[in-house]
Amino acid sequence: MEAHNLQEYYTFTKGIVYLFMGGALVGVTLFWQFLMGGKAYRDENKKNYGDHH
Amino acid sequence: MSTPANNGPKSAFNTFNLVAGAIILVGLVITVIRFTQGIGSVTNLDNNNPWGIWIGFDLLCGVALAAGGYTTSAACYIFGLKRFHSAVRPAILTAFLGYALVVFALQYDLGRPWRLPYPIFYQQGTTSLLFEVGLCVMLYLTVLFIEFTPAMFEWLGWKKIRKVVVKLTLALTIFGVVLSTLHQSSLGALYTIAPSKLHPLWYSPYMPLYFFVSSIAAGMSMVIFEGTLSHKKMHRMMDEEYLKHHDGVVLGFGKAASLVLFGYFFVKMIGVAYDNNWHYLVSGYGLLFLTEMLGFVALPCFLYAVGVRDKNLGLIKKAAIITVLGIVFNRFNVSLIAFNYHLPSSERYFPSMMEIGISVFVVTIGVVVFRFITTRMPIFFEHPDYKGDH
Repeated sequence: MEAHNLQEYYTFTKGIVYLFMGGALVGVTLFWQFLMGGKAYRDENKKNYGDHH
Repeated sequence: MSTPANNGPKSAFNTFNLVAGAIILVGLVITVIRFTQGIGSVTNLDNNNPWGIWIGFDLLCGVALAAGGYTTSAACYIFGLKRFHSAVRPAILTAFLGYALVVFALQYDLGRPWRLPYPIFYQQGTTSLLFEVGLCVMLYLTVLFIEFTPAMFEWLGWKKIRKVVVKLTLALTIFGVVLSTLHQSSLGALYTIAPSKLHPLWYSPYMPLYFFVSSIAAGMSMVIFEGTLSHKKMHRMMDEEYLKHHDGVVLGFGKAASLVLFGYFFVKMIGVAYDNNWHYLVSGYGLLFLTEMLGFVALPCFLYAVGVRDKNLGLIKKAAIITVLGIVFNRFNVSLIAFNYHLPSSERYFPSMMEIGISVFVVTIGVVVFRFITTRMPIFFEHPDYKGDH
């Protein structure tokens, strides 16, 4: 990226940061689902609700 | 609940005592040299590198890895997660010893230990970040000592004063979290004064945030790591209550550490994007940075998550070790490796054997005192007179 002035530089870097923030919002939701799933989640549900859940 | 079988060490001349004794003996000799011949006689420090391994390891790593104290007590007393209560006393003890040794090790760097109270009581530099760090460490060390005293009072049988101190628990926890937030971040802020000396991949105006967030992951990983070691070496001192909750503590802290590391990875990457430092990634320092971020942040984050999902305690413990090493790696990178990166290699700093010796000496003192306390005081077990009284 070649910036000719400070405004162009910040427009570029802030644009990338905004993209990262958007990615982080989606990423943390997916990561949360990944983290809270699995064996630990199934065992907890089984303990609380029995086999029907 | 049963009281553990406290048989005590079988012989004073066991391997641990002999090795620890030898290290302490060597450490005392270096101490005499340091305080009689001056700092130059034992270190490789110079005007370009005035802060060496004693700051990079003993202080920065010591403070970060002692963060288990405030994370565990906050989880238990502020967030109400009482299932982590069994981990509070070992974490508070580790934090107290960690901070006490930070202050102890700092004396080797500063010299003239009798002047330790000067910055607080005699000549305050209120515009300096170091003053803020010093004040916070002094106050937090006091808070940790008071938080630790109930175990000592139970051991000594001082019931009345213990009752008073226990009532202060919540206030002390809140005060401790506030102080930790301040000085953990201030240690990172110290390096914002040197933008031309620290490599751009590590330098960022967000360094206070990086240091604070990484200290949370370091603290929780250290609780898991220290708990694992204690489980192997101090098992005889643990009661059923502690052992019953141990796996839950590892799973809970593993889950939290995974989330914190995930967030830490993103804020670090946002720092790179904000300063447009992408081009540095394809360099030697870039490789070092990527090793740190992928090998010691992203990898343990993933391992923690898989370990929690599969209830694989072994994997979580491995992730904790990687995270602890990663924090040491990060603090070394900031304070030593990526610091003064523009200097020719002949002027770069590498610690002398005596500097390393003092660092090993300090860690050994910590382990010996931890062992001394945990084999005598109710740290891993509940005192029979106070069962359920918390």
